[in-house]
Amino acid sequence: MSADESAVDDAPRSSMDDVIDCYKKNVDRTLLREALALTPGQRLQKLVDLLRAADALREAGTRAFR
Amino acid sequence: MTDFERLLRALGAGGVEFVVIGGLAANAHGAIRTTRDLDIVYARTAENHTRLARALAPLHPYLRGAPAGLPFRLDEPTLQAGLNFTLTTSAGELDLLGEVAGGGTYQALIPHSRRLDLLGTTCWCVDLDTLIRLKQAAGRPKDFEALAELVALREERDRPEP
Repeated sequence: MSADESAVDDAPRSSMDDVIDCYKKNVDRTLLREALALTPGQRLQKLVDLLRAADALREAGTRAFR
Repeated sequence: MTDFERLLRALGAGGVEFVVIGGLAANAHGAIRTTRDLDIVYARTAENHTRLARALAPLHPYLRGAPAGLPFRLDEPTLQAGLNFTLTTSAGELDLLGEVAGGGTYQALIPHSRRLDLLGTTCWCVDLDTLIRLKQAAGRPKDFEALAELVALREERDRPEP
């Protein structure tokens, strides 16, 4: 294994892991389970659709409150 | 909005050697948080620099946040002289990384990546375990929530079927 490859080896548990554990309590796992049922391509298509919808909403809001 | 499909298609059609990391890779693995830029680690070879510059030229890459009018041109000498570039293009925001903390180079990431069809382009995408390591290595407080989601995602993925 090269030095480069060893850079991605398992690291020992650090204090940051405790911080991440605290944040993990707020993760909505039902959404993750839904996403895991899809293919990677379907997941990205959902992302693209969501971003398009958000942009359309932002533009509509800008026009409405101009 | 970043046109991920167009960016990936340009890179793929141009024969660029790259690995998708960051938010789009996280979404491909099942993360819910949205991202607005494409992060890739590219191979640091003269041939790949040429391919990368050619592939992106039609998208008019420019340094993100830089004042207009700078004599910036993303070509082979520029890529050779630099390492990481945060760019804006006509298809959206693109981060080109020659190396990434916790993961190293393109060559180091390939054994930890999978070929996936991402929006019509088949390309390398870093695996979930490595994506988590990259986020950990970055160590940025703004990434804590995203990192927690990725760790939870891995737990859900590896959970035995009931």
